[in-house]
Amino acid sequence: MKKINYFLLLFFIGFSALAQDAMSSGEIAEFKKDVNAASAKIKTMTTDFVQYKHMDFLAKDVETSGKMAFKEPNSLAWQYKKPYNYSIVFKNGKILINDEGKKSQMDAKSNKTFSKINKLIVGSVSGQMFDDKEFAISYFKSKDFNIARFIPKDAAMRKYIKQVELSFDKKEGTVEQVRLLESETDYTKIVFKNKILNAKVDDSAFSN
Amino acid sequence: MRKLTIPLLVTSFLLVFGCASKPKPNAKTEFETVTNPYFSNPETDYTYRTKITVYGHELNGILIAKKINDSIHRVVLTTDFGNTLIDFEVGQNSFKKNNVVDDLDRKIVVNTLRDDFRLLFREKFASSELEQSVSNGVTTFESTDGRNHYRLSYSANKLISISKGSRKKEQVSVGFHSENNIFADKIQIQHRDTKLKIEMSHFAP
Repeated sequence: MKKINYFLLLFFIGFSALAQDAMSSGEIAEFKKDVNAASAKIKTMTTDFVQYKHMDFLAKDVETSGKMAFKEPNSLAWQYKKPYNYSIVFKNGKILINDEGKKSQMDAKSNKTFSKINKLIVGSVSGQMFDDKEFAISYFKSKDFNIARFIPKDAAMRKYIKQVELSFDKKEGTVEQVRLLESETDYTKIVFKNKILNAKVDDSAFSN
Repeated sequence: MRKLTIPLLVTSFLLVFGCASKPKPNAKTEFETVTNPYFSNPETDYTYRTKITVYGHELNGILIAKKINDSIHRVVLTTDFGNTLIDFEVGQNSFKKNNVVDDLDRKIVVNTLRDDFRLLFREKFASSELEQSVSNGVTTFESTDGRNHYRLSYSANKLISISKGSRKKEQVSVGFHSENNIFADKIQIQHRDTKLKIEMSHFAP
């Protein structure tokens, strides 16, 4: 029995190694340089997104979708359109919420966890996360993506987010997927589609 | 539990043998099992956009419920971004707290939500013939289980509300609106003594 487990373990290690390889230090330096160069060029970004909430006990992932807009230095709007309307804007330390037409506001600074999450989201969209002291970072590559894995150092934060995984397009150096792990089996995955860089984005996109 | 089991057993025997013989004049009161079908299918992921209002504070998110075995429902509340706020396994006689964020991890919050979910997910209630009434097209069944008194109302054969309290005073009520009688499109849980309200709207992800 032990022998079988040992082989199974080896098999899985081998399998995951095939799927994702750790980057060498040279590759890491190269990758960071590419992403930093790409994100330095990003003044605005608009993109569609699909969010999948995966929990092991569910038959299907809970899927929501909408549009996201980002403008330098740190205005960010998430607009869920399906299956319900809900938008949240992070701007000048404020969080503006529009829930099916009902508007509310809160101070991001008053909520430490929220402001850390905000920083993480802006950082993950713009790719400016590698200097973040809040996370332990490791780097991998798969067939399609370069992957950066962030583990929060703060225990309070780790209760909410065990790990954040950003998958970057190999050519463009921009984020294609965000995966927030809450446990070994449960995660939220956000996939970006139809990304448009540096087109004019009106301030009204962040007015909510 | 025993108190519930016995009437249920009596009910099932009556259902099987009830038609065969005339009830004796001094026969015990007949019990009928009344049901809440809205969370009963173990194949279904029940997903609701949910707003919880507590003393003026609002909490929005997605509530996901699923019957994971004969006696237990798993219920998870997440933010719109998918972060889990609570994750409970709720049975009528069991409870497991898998996860709850610090801000909500207060005994009173956890216990209140646990009891609300127990009421929401409970499928069977025993009601005696004497406890049934019809008024304005609404049939009401009353059911007593230990110290708790329940009242279930049906309109056009659809469950429209369950309330729980003592015989004299209602503590909490759950209102349902269902188009198909398979799941509820809208649910509202309202407390009488505390300013707590939970509003849920079904969505198909």
